[in-house]
Amino acid sequence: MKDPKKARAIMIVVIVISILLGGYRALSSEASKVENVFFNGVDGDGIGINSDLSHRVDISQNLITVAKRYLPAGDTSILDLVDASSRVANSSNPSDKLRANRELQLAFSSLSEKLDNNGMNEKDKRYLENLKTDFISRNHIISLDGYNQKAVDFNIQLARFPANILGSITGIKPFELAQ
Amino acid sequence: MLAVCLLTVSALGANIPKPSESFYVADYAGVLSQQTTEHIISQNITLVENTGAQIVVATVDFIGGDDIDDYAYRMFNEWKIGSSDKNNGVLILLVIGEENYWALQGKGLENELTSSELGDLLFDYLEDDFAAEDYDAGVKKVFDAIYSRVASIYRYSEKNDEYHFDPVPNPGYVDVEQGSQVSGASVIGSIFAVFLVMLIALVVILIVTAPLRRMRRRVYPRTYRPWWRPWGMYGGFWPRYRRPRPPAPPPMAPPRTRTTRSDVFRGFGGSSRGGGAGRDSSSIGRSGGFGGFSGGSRGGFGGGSFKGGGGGSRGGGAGRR
Repeated sequence: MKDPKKARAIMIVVIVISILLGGYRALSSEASKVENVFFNGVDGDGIGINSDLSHRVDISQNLITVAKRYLPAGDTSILDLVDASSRVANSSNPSDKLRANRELQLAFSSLSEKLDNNGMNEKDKRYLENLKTDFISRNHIISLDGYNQKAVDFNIQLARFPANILGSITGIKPFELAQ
Repeated sequence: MLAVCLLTVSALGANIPKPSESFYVADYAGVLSQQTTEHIISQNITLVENTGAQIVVATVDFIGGDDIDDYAYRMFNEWKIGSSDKNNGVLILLVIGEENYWALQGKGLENELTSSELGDLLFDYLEDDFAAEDYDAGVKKVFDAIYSRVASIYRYSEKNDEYHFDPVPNPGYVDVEQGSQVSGASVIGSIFAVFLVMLIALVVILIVTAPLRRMRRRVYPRTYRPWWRPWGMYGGFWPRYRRPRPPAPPPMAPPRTRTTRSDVFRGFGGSSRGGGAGRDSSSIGRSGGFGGFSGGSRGGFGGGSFKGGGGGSRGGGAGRR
């Protein structure tokens, strides 16, 4: 290369690329830590929001089983709950799972309310009450999980300069909160 | 910003009272009899000695407008109910002035003593007496029911005073695939990023130093010799460019006798570099307190002064229907 100006320009480009890559790696690493807490729990023992969401899906399946004794299988409330359950189960990242969880909450409430007014026998009434207790209990646990604080901290970091620019270039988005 | 405010607000709320001296019964509403209190304490002493589990009963008048499930969660974790390694505590909270109650289990009992089961026990053994304001009778019945349930989880038989402890199965659910996907992707991305940067740097260096390499070739061209022609053959037939010979070296000086100079050997083994760098393995040994649960004395409850075993709860539980 005979032109020193060209060489300088290339060096500057390399430096800028290195800075961007370094920043991306740091941001990506922080995002991975938040995801890890979501999937493996604050203590890293696998007991975290992801396992709680699995429990909620299981409870929903039990509600669907009971509901089919009193409502037709094609009932919209049942189908909504089936869809919402599969969305929670099949989503792969925390934000999608939590958004799907909100739909699951609505679908579950809608179906259980419908069943409440449907003349169930005593045993099934009690069983429905237990399902509602467990479902709500898991949501309470999810809302208190340490993931929420980590997500808030990350989102604050992402909103600051230059992380906000880096995030918009590389597609790193803020995390959904589990509340 | 809104999310930060929400989290901050959720952390505030009514102050949680300190645990009582007996720890297992905190009757701040003054509704329990001495007999019931002593019964709860003695049962807990046996239970905690054999399983580490603790069942604490607390009564208060009001909780300052807090949600009872949040209040119970904060109380449980401030009092550190249950053992620190098994997280097998249970809290039974009665809020007399608000006509409400709640029961909460520790993290280690979430699967074996579900919130719905707690709800059933509360409904079956506490609700009628609570509604009739016979709080003492209700607390004794529900405590005994929960005690039996927890003991059965650990298969503890009071009759024979035999203890067949099977540890509460840890679900141990680790979605290794998902977890490793998250970390695996970032490692591959990092390696790729480093490789890319190195490649770009190498290309730039080659471009920048290309003129310098061309100059060297012009000054020192290679001597041409076909492969079939040995050196020296037809020496004058093919004109060749020969590198000018370097000047002859000066005559060799007589050999010097070697003397030991301290500055030649500076830095080689004279200092204790190796030894100083070593790390005392005991200094990185672990001290007793994992997870920040201070004061977690397991099993050592004697002499009338009891305290939490360091356990924690993730929330949930069940209350009045």
